[in-house]
Amino acid sequence: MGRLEQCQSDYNNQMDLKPVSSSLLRDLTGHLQPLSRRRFVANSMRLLLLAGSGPLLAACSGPSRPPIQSMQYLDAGQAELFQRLSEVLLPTEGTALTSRTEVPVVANVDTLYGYLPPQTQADLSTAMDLFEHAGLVLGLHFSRFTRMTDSAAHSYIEQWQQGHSLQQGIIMVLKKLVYASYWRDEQTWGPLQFPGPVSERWGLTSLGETPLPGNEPIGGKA
Amino acid sequence: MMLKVTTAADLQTERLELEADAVVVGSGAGGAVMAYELAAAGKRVVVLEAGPYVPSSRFNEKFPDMLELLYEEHGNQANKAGDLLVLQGRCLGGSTVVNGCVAFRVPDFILEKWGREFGLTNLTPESLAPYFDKVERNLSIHTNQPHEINRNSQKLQAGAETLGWSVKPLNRNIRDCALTGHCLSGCKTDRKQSMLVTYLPWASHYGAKIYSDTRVTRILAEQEHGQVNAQANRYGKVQGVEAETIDPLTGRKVADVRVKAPLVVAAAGAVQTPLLFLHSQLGNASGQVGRNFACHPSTMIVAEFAEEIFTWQGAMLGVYVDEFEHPDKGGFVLEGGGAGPVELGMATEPGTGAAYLDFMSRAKHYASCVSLIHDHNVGRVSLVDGQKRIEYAIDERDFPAIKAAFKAAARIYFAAGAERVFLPTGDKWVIESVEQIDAVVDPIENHPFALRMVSYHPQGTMRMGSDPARSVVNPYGESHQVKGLFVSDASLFPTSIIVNPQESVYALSHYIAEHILARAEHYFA
Ligand SMILES: Cc1cc2nc3c(=O)[nH]c(=O)nc-3n(C[C@H](O)[C@H](O)[C@H](O)COP(=O)(O)OP(=O)(O)OC[C@H]3O[C@@H](n4cnc5c(N)ncnc54)[C@H](O)[C@@H]3O)c2cc1C
Repeated sequence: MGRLEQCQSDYNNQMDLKPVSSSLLRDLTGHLQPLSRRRFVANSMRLLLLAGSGPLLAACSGPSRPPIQSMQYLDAGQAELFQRLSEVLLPTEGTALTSRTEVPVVANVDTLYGYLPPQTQADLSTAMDLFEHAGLVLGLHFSRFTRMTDSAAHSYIEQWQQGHSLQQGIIMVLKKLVYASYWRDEQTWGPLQFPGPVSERWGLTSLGETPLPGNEPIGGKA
Repeated sequence: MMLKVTTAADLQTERLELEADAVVVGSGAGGAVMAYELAAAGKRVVVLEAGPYVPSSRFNEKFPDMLELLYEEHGNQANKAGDLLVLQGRCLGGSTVVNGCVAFRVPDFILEKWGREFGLTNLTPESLAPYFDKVERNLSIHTNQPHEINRNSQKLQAGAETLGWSVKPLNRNIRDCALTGHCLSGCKTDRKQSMLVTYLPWASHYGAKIYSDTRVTRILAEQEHGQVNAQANRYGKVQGVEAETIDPLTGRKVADVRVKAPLVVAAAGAVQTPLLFLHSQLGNASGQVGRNFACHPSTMIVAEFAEEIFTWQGAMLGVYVDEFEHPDKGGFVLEGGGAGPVELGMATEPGTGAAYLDFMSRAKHYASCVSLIHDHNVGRVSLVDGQKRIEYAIDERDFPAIKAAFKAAARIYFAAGAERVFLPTGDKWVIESVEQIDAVVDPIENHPFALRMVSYHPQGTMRMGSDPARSVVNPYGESHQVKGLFVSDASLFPTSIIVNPQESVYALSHYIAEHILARAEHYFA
């Protein structure tokens, strides 16, 4: 039995499946079906989504990483996903840009995530699960995203970027969350020569409320 | 003059009962003008605003912070598919506090269409001119002067002129612009003539009572046979509103509010006004409440130049290309609009990892413009299980206009000397030369997430018209069914208006106020 089939059979034996109920599940599996062998992907995807994360998935993938704490809104797995995404999306080493490690990217994602309405959070959470685990069954990666090497993670992201519109949508949203969380930090502006707030620095004074205008009625035209 | 506002923190009671001649729901473009015009005419006006009162001293010129503080859903309001961000202000002064100051009169050809197709023959360029004149005076609306046209807009202008295309300085509602480029974070020094520093304090001067943190939850109407709100969607007369005051810091309800008034003006914006009607089960005999949502889906085209542009420096919006404004010529406009790192960082797909950082590290070399199209009213705002839902996808009839806007912007930028043009698409589409334009743009297909779209201009969901079967309110903004219940916000527009809407909302609201006052005995007996 190959590694992939082994994973599949392990899933089938797993008893503590966590239900992810959403029409999104149907949509995602439906949309992703044409991308690979139909039955296999449909089943695997369903199981992956149902399983969420767990020791089994870790066993099917690459070396594990130091544990990351859950945050105010993101659970540990989600925080780890964004940590890994920020490493792959923002390889600032050797550039003139502010080092990613100086910016609390994941904490900023957590704040943004907290502002989302509950339904959007739920959909995004499902999308994150899918993105994290789909590499086990799609595109010969045989690994969850957070366990991929840099180059595998890079090509996995590009694959999603060029995939079905739903994959494009998911990766676009994940990228936007990471980018917004990086660029919102003032430390990142200097290298771009973006000045940020200027009014106080320029000594601008408020013009205050605008004086009351005259108010002649327009007169019976309405 | 100091703006007097009752906030959640000021309320000492759990139940507030008020009486007024008119209650205005929402304090943005439509609500503030209405409140002022009625108050100045001696009416007792109460304004209820769902958002907080944020004085300009708290605007910190950091866009992400201000999105969270001043915008609906902290800047995350989106359509159901998730591929269209729908931005609206949610604070005292509404979207006028965070908008880009661009001011247009609704184009004549749009008014002609409204007359022809929706029976709005009362709304002509001539009949509306005095209202436009007055708001233009009141709000210091003027044509951008040369110092208000930054290097970013100069590129758009130069390219369009080279091609012989019509390009003009924009009009803006601003006094002595300090050229900070931070319009969308609110104007810290009160130069933007938003409702926060104009019509709201003026309304207050005439006695209007303004409540922030107070969301109207239901419009009350009496049936002809005397029951309140029973038998939804029948004919009746408005009675007032119910609302709740919520502490913005804790999210906890502070008070239930009830305002009794013979006149209610809904000006909660094109997303919330239909929701309020739907929730109140009022005024929807036509079934049109919440339908016909249009939004000018806007995209940002970025061009790279060898020289430094600093797109974020100077007045945020300088010039616009109106060569293709008329639907017969394409139905789109391009506006030279600047952007900071956060917006630029999400505007296009330059590639992953090093490719992305390379793109961003050249940010000071980019010029940017936004496209607006005359989109069809194909969207819908509805209540599903008590929750808001916005459905909108680019209609097949509108997609060509978006692609034509990409092509025109690219031609302009290459004519101005650009080295490459980045398209606002989900996938990576970069144009390296003028010869490549068609080859790159033509294959782009219309599907969810194909484009990076933002709507700054939701409109159309409470259609105005003469036919009660096809519209929600009559040509003067009054519900076809409920007497004394008016709408005066961007939801009135029966079609999208292609240009930035704020000035048209002001003028229309003023027009409706005059209509109400001219028939005061009907409403305020
Ligand atoms: C970022 C941005 C940039 C823009 N730039 C431009 C521009 O440059 N030029 C231009 O012409 N237009 C621009 N616009 C659009 C323009 O500001 C709006 O079209 C205009 O303000 C709409 O007026 P309105 O009265 O319909 O709604 P708004 O001005 O949005 O006001 C609605 C108000 O109602 C409140 N409200 C909602 N629900 C309730 C409730 N249940 N109870 C009480 N209050 C409620 C909201 O909090 C809000 O304050 C921009 C908009 C945005 C968001």
